[in-house]
Amino acid sequence: MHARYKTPPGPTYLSSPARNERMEMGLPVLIVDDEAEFAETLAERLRLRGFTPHVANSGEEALSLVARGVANIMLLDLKMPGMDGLEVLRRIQKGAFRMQVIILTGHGSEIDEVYARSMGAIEYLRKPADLGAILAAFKKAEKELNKNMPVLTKE
Amino acid sequence: MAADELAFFGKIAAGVTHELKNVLAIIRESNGLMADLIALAKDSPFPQRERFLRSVDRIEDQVRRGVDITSRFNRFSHSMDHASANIDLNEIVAQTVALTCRFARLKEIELLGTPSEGPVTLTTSPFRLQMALTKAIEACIESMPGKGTIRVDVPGNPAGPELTIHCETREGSVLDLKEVVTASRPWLELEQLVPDLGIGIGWRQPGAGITLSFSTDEVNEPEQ
Repeated sequence: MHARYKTPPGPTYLSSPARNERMEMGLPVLIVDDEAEFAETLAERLRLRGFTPHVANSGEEALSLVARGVANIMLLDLKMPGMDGLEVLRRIQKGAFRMQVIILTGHGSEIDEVYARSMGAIEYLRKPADLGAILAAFKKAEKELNKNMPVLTKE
Repeated sequence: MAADELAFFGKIAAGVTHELKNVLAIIRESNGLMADLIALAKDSPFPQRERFLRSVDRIEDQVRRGVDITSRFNRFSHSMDHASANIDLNEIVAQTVALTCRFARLKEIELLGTPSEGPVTLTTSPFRLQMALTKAIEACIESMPGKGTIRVDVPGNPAGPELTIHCETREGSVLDLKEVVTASRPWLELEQLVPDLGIGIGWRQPGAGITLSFSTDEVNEPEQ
């Protein structure tokens, strides 16, 4: 319906090495996706933007990296062989890890979204999401992390 | 097709569209990476830079198109999940217009939908309602004498759950196609769906279009 269609935002390409969209240099993020080619390519694009991405191709691998404290921001796929994304989310919540989770899925239903948000996911993106949307979600996650950081005051 | 067969078809189709989204995600990221790399090398000579970037943009455009098509087909597939559901008529019109605009385009007809201000809800079979609306649109496409526009409008309240379909010439004159439309094959098929869906079909004064109004009662499930 013409009145309803909205032009989606344009693609987020790197315009220069000193792109001002860069976030805190080296911000670690964990990409959890069983589609290895997708995860690796996204990791490469994030690396170009100053992030330190880590990749896990299964839920089990993701939890092991979380336990090692590689990152406090996770981009999580829902449907994966073995342990699925919702189970990863449940275990993160149970383990009280300091983690901000962004769901990125090609499979999720509206019920999944409600459930994932109720389990603490701060954003729910659908594949294939534009990189700009992923970066915005990282910013939101970083803000949440900073909000929850203990504030040190001079005495 | 029986309800369980429809649900099976819907499940398989939904699974395929989900997988296609993964494929599109990989294409989008790989294309984005190519664009990033060429941007990083902006001071290095690259004789075909403009052509390369045009191709990158073209791939991104096609990914967007693919996402739109797969998302709509995915929603269509999920419409088979439940024999009856609460739906917003605007959503059904938007979905059906998007999925059938190709049929119109082949006859150089523009297919447009206009939503109402607020949602217009009713309980019905989303799949069968889309099928009925598609039949009505097909009947109009077949009946149009040449290039033109078909408008599917949801007037909203106080009209309630109803929509109107107008066939117009390119210049905007409304066509009175009642005789041709009602004799067309899709229209006869639509009339068979009408009793189960609680649809009332009305023709406004000559040239003012077709009105499909929907019962707000639960739909009758067709006998298997």
